[in-house]
Amino acid sequence: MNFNEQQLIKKCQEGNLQAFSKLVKLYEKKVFNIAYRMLGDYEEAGDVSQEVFLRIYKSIESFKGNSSLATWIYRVTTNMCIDQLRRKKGKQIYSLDEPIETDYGKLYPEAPDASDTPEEQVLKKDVQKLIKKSLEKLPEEQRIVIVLRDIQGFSYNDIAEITGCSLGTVKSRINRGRKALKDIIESDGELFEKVNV
Amino acid sequence: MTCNKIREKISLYIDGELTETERKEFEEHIKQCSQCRMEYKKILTTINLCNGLPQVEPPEDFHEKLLKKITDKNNNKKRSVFIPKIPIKIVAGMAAVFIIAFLLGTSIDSFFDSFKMDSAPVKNTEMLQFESDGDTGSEKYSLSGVPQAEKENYLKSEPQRNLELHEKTKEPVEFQQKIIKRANIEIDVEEFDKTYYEIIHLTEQAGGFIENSRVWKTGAVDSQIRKGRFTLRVPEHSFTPTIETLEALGEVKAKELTGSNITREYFDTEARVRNLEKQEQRLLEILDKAKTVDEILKVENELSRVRYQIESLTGQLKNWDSLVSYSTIGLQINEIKTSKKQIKSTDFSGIWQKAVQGFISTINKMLEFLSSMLVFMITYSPIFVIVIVALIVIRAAFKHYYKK
Repeated sequence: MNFNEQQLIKKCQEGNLQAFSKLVKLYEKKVFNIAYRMLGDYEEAGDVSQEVFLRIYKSIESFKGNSSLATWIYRVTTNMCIDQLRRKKGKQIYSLDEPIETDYGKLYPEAPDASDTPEEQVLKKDVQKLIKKSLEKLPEEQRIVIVLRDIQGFSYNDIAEITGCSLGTVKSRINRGRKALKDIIESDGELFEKVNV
Repeated sequence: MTCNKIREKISLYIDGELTETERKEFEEHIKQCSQCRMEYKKILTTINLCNGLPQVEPPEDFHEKLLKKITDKNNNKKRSVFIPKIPIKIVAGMAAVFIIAFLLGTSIDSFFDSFKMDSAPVKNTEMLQFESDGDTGSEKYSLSGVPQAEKENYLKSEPQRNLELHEKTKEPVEFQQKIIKRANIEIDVEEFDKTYYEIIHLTEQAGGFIENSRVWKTGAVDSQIRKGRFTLRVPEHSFTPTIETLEALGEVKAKELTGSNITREYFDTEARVRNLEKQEQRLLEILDKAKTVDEILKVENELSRVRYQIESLTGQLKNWDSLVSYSTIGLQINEIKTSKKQIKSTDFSGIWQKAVQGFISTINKMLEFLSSMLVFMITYSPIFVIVIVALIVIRAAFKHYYKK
């Protein structure tokens, strides 16, 4: 934790909104990206990220600096993403690829024409789309470590701190996560042939 | 090293987390084993694909929206210092507790009511009119109507008068209200036979007996129904409970309770018997002294008249004793045909009337419920206040705990 950050935290703890705004600017992009990769939905990622910062704002008073500010923020982010995923689990989500069976026959769902949304602009390439979809199929605990390690580029130690697991657990989770992701991609299509392994 | 162990290390190798010797071993194996090499390459590609995912820009209004939410929250916080938000779950829970407590409360109340009635039948009989139907005839005592002082007066004067009458008798005069209780009940029942045996069973259970019963058929040929009339005699103490159980057998059509207070006549008669007994004693003494046949005959004549009076009065007393200790219940049961058994032609005006009646009764019940609810709420408001305060404290404690 550098000196500037410490000062910033102190100001935030005093209730300085400007200081907090600065803090948000520092972390919002990374928080948003973690949420987006975890949840796979642009809008949802926005909502959850907002919630993350609201939580941070509410409890920054009791932040004592046991861990670094960044670690704390990312831990809150991953926790809230998992909460959101579990909440979503209860609700029925219709796949856009499969017809919905109803009493009147099969219905073919159609996604609203979203080609202009930022999400679609981001996903112009098929390969990226496929990886995004595959990521969403990974179990939560593996998804976290893959997002943190291979998309956000955190070190093993950072990941251990953020997730609150031991280094050994993180190592094995990353290993299993990567293998699982590879299997999903493999079963989904001939991606590996496309990219010429 | 086996392939399995090598595969576990692919990830660590890529991230450079292996020791020098492990790394060398790994590279050696990869060179030789084409399958492991393939696996390694695929995983490396997967990682590269992930690395290639672009960083997404958050929505443009993200920052402004967030700051607005925070300021809103700050304002809310200031406002809601004293009014903590109670989550919907707690509100729902409280409502449920409320309703259960209400139902329990009403049922407990009625339970206590029945208990009171059982243990103090006097309370019930007080509502009855006590008629003195002895020779003094026209006097009527309505105990409920008589002021307390007068009642006490009456109770006191009675033994005093008795004592005056038998100044020489030393035995204490036991004073007890002698009340003949009678009830007439008419009920409609659906299952006639079942009810019939139930009545017999109930009477036996109460320690009473059936004095008289009669069952007959009546009505037009195509819709004959049975009727039954019982005269039940039950011990005085189980009078009220028996009536209650009988009433539960069917729909009560008519009900009549009477109580005749024969205390005064009873003790008067008793006194007369004692006096006559003394007279008998004296006549016997005279008889011993009698010398002529004429005298003996005259005394014997008088003696038999006195003895006849004693016997008839004692008989009257015994009859009263039985009437007082065993209350009489006249019970009539009428069989009613259930509508299930036959299809009736319905007239529509009747339906309309029934609907209107049902509607009105529902409204009345609702009003009744609301008023009792209000009473309940006001009655138990102190408890609610305590419960709400407790909930707030618990909630605050939880919040505090979570913050930690």
